[in-house]
Amino acid sequence: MLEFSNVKFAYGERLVLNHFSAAVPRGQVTGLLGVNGSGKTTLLRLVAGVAAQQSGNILLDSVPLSSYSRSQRARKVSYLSQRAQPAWDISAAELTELGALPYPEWTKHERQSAVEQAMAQTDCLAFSQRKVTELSAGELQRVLLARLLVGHAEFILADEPTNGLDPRHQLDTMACFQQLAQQGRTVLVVLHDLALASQFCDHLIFLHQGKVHAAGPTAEVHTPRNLLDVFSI
Amino acid sequence: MVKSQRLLFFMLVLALVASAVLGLFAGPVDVPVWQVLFIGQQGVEPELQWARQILLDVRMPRVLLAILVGFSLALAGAAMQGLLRNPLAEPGIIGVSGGAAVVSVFLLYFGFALWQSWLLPLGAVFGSVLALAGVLLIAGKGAPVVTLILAGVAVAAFLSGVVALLLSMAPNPFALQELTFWLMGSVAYRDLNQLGYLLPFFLLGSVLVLRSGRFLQALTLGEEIASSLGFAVAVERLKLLFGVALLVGSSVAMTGIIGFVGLIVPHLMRHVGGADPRKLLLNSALAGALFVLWADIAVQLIPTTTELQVGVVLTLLGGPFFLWILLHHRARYLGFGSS
Repeated sequence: MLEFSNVKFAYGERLVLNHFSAAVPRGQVTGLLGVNGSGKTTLLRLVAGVAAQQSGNILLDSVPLSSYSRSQRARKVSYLSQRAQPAWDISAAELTELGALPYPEWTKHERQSAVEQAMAQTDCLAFSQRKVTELSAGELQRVLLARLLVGHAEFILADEPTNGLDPRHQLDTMACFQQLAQQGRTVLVVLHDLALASQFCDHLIFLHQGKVHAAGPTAEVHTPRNLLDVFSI
Repeated sequence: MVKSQRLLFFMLVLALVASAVLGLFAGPVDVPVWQVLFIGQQGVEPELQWARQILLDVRMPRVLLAILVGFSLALAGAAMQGLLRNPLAEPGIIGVSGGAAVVSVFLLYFGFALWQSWLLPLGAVFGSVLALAGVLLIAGKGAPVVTLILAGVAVAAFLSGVVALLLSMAPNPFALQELTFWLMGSVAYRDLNQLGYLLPFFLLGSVLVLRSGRFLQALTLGEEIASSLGFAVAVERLKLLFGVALLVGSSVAMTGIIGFVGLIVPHLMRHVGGADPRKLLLNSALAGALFVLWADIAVQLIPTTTELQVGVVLTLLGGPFFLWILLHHRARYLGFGSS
């Protein structure tokens, strides 16, 4: 379980998260919805340790996030950022292998089998030796997703993971998250596609002006009223 | 591309050893290298003492220095490109070679370099680290890469202005010539004692940079992802930059400014041994050593009235070579390495 209590965060004067409190249940896919600039990415960045906590508490399985060391946190939490683009023309397999960096004790064989397994899960094995410059946007996104699955992180955070994917791979990606949740992991996904959210998320959090507007099982909170309040649609 | 890193390492080391031996043969006079090397001091006939002196006091230090400087500059270049996620970065971009040059020229200019033989090498390393400290102070803690580059470019420009000022105020044409030649970069006729003072800095710099391989790999997807993978980005960056400052400072202290090696060699090795920034470090370092050694052998073989400076030759070859790589692979660079 991932819990937020009274989390506040500001970029300079601009308050992004304002007393945000919510719980993300284990073994489920939780969708984080909200308009641009509502603080969704900031929330993921805080859990991933990319942004420093300012006030409030974030608990991973009831243990404060701040009590984990960097390397412990990296093994617990896997983060797929929206902006990450590879700087170098490495192969898809090498890019996936970056996910093994928090596990320096792994042997080469362990690393390779974890990479293969992750690439199989996101349907990337066919082009594992291709350079990242030779991949389509969708293929690259799947490789980035595979990187997330190397290792045994219990908490999976993904920022708009279906961006650039064709409909089939959007469905495959979300199904992959469902599978991870069924294995007992905690999955938190930022989505803009409301149809995907209602189809694949067990739990939804509507974020509005830095606060939780509504949170709960998808069937209960995916209502026209909430959509109107948050998205004005 | 060579698929096996072990094979590539073996090939580079083999080429380096062979080239080092070749380097002992290069020079204006013929020296019976094998005879001198394998007979030992006692066995050397009196008429071969001169050959022994040339080999041990002139050629061997020169070969060693070429290897060491090439190793350091290319390693520093690969590290900077990895750190800044930019294939156009080179070690001097953060002002470290400028800092070393200013202090060295200052010491040479006022004759302080003659006081103590350790003053010039240690002063250059100090200048390099000081320039880095200045850049970091201007850029601020945890600054984004662009700010770091801009601060570096500004400091480097200022320092090159200081060097130009010192040169323009040279007391006489001979001093000016000496300083200018020194700055052009050469591995010839250097004092081996100075190399001894610098060895700890070379070693510390190399260890700091070579140990940053995993951090550079993590940076492939940017600082955010590196941070989420468990790296303390600000600390790791500082360690790496300090290592680069030590490597570049020591190199400039010994040989003046040798350009382009730090830029071109990592580029070349990306095509030969793959773009993984961790593997690139050692591959570049070994290839850099080979590159400078070959260039130094070339300047001795080119028939000119006065021997060319190796720094000049490397820049002359390096410019067009770099353009060739760029044109050859321009499609690949479109959209890559710009962020």
